[in-house]
Amino acid sequence: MISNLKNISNEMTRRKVMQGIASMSLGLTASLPIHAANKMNTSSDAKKVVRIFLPGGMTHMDSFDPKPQSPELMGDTKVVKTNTGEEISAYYPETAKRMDRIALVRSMVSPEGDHERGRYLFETSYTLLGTIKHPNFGAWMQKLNGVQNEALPPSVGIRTGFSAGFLGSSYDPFVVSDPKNALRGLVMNNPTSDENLELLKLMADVRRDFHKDYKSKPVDAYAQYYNDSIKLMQSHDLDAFNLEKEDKNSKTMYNITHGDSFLLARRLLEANVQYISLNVGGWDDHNDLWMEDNYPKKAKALDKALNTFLDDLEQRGLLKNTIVTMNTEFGRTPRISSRGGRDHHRKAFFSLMAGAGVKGGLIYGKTDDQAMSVVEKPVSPVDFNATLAHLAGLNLTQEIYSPDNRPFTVGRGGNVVKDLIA
Amino acid sequence: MKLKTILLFCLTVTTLLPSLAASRFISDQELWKHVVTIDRLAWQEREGVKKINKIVEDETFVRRIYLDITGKVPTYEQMLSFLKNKDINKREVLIEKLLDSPGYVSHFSNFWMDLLRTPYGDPEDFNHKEFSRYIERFLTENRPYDTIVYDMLTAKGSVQQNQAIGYYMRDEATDPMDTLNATVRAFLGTRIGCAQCHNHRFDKWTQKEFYESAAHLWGVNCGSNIGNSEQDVMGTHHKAYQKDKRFKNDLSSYANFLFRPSSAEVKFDASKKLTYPDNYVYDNAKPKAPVDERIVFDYGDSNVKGTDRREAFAKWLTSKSNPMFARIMTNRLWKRIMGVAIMEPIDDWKDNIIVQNPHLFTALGDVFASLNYDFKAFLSVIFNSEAYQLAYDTKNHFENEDYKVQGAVLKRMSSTQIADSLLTLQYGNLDPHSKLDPQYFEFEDKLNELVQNYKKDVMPIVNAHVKKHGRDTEEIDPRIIDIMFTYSDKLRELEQYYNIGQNGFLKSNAAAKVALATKSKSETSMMMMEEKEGSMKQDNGKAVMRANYKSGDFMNVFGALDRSAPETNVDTGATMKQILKMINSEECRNVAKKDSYLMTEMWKHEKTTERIAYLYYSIYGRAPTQKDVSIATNFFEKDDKPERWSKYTLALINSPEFYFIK
Repeated sequence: MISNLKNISNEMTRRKVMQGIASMSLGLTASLPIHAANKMNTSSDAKKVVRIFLPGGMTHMDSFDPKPQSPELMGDTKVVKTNTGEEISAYYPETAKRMDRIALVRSMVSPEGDHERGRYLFETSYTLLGTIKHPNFGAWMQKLNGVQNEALPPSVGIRTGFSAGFLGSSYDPFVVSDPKNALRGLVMNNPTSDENLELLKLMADVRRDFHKDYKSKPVDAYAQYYNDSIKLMQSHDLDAFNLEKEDKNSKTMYNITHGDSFLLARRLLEANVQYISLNVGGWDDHNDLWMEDNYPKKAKALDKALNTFLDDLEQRGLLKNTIVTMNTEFGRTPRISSRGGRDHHRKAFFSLMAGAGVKGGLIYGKTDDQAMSVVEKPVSPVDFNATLAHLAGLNLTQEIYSPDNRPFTVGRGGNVVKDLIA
Repeated sequence: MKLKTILLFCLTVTTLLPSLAASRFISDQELWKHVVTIDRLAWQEREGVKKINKIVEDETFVRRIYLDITGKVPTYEQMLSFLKNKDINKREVLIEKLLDSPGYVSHFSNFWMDLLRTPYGDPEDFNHKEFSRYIERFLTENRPYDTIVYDMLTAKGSVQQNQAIGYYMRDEATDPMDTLNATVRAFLGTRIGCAQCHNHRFDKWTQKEFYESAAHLWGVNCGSNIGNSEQDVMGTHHKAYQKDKRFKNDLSSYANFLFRPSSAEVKFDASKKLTYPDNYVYDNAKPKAPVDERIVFDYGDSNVKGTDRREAFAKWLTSKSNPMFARIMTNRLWKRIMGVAIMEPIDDWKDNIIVQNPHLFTALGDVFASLNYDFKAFLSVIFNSEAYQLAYDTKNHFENEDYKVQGAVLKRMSSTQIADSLLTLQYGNLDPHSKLDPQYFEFEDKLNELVQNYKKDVMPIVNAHVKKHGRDTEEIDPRIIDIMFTYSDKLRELEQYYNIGQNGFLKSNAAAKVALATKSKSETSMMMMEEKEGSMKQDNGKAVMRANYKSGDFMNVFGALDRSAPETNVDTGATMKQILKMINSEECRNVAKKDSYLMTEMWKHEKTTERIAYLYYSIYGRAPTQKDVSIATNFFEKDDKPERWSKYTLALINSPEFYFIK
């Protein structure tokens, strides 16, 4: 079933025509874009990126690096065979059935054992400092490679949203705290109703003299954006954010835990939103990890949601142009704590990749028999990001300068892990 | 005959002099002496520069001064009271009144929290709460600038003993090098931070000089004086206390200060020496060698001594022999108020910088220093100057680049000014909603003492409990519960004595509930967001690098600073999202709702023309023109029920005239 999102390119053309008319009638110059778009990226090769974050530090032993050879460390966790002849935790049966499309890194190592610092490192590739804010990956994509859909925000955060730091707010993500209600407080429910048209006309009337009498750069900017906003509200461009518009089958398919986040992500991908980051769950299981309502339940929900999403992307032909990653700040101690959980462990943990250019069915790197340390091919969060940047077609050597003239690069000089690339 | 002449003379003199009423902050003599100096330097002695525009008229002045001092638009009643006043010196009197009001504290605490990078924290984050209270306190008490900075730089102890430790706690997740970096940028207006890793590419600072500076603050340790296990045990006992039959749920949320006490503590160990990094490459020092602290700046008196190196640094920095200390701050304030700085950039001083008006730049600093760094006195001078009171002339306006104080600059409101102005329209005068009555501060002092005593009594038992039972235990020691009840009784006495109600506000102030921009809704860090499923635990007592705030929040959309660096430049750039928010957000629609203060008051006027005037004064600070009235009358032809008035009000708020300051 072809979603109504395909109309977007027609919508944009219509919008441009209308803009032209409106501009002439108000004597304004061409409108400014919704966000900083120093260039458009209309290449058919252009990649999109979906970054799934598992905040809290997901246990690696009970997910993708189990050690049945050390049963005293396994807790209640069992293993299951994957369709690539490997073993992962039995809490992820759906993923096991489709490991052929996943590249799994078992040898992640981070210098950070703290949630905030660990997450910051994954988001920005740089170390958390008190005096500068580094841009997140989505901001880098926008800065280096421009924008694929000028009508929509190029960077969207679903239940999360790292800032663009020194690149400024026009590179910030559009944050959705509730996927079922993404545009709450930003759009009218029925912008072309008589009532609302009347309101918009009144708004234009009461402000007209001020724009005339106080004509100046800052005031003019508001006039331009005002017209653009009206058109945006009245267009169908923002339908991508409206889950209600989805067809019945998809609604049913995504009627699962985390379903709304992933459904929104899929809709945005279809509308050519190029960077989407999602927070999924909370994994800081210091206590009672194996309690039924805790990790087993959460893992099952993630397993189902992740694979529903990947299946859907595959079916719709979106996976071939999208890179999907799944990261967590660090892993958790192999030793089970006195509170029935595991504590932070930064010396060994996992990451996942799938999609465009990614070598599926691969397991990269190895930890020891206790999952304590990496014994082969360590990968840092900086290396991971450099690899992702490479896959996304970003220039790893291009320097961007902060306002105080310090140079930064998207991968911070990290190693691109060639084996992960198909 | 002589008497008559004398009397006549006196009368003439009194009517000609601007005012003989002594201000609370500054003597008349000093005020007008400094005003004259500033006005003279603004235009005279400068080739080709003169003031072009006139002094602004009352209507525009009153809206502007309320926004620049209290951060919000005046209510209709406040405007009217000023406009009706026939006093010749009413402007000076209003300036003093506003500087003396809670509005000043609220508005300028935003300035300070931006400068000191105070994170927008989780409201339950005690460190954030304590430090922002510290800021509100020094503003309310009008503490001098040099004392404030000195106190923060030399702070140590538990947060209950000394709230100023928040200055260092801000960098708990990193280290005092960040604090040094921020200190230099905030108070000396220059960036030494790049030199942390290598010799500065574009300026003269060497890595050695960075380390010599950072060495002054090295030895500061930000920590937690209650361990995680102990906190867990206290948490378990707190739950048991709440289930106990003696429990009465009648205390305010201040009880959390007591039973979930903040564990933040800063220690300073002068024996800890900073060492050069392992990978130090330059010839002028050896890797891993200890660093000798040194004042690397060539202003001020580097011979000043203190009891320890932190104190020496603080003394040097804040001394009157260091002119940059005053000048950087006055330049920041000038920019905030006038819209354009005298020296740009305001915090990236380099040796080859060219200051547009060097005499004015130094004079402002000198004035501030001569007033002994009294903010309210200094601000009185600025606000009473002609330079400030010039009008914005739509025919003679200049973009910021051409600004030479010929007239006022058209400014957009900052994010906090917009937020607080909307709240004023929604709720009326916001002063009663702040916790700035001295009674609160007195109460909180006593509360901090109480918490210290509570910790003294309870911690030994808690520590022993942890040793015996570990942290994950359901074991309860009844002695701990008993102590909790003893202290809850004491807190109850305190609350009664200071008349604190259960909502945490003075009982005489029952309506208070509004969250001002200071304690904005931009709450939690990215990782604290949403989590309904499987919440992450917050590290109790840990600091506060929560400079991330929810992108998309109202204030963020209007350019609220993210507080990752010391910054007082407001971001007033336009974006499309701002327009969408103005049209659709709850914040704006609430103002137009039937039960808002604005609508309720407006409705008390019977005639349509009176109502329109009420709205225009409240929202734009002026009377409606003929054209405005005719647009309105046309609109109300259909009907003039409350819903229609709401629509009309929303339309008025959406004009840039609301969020620009003439």
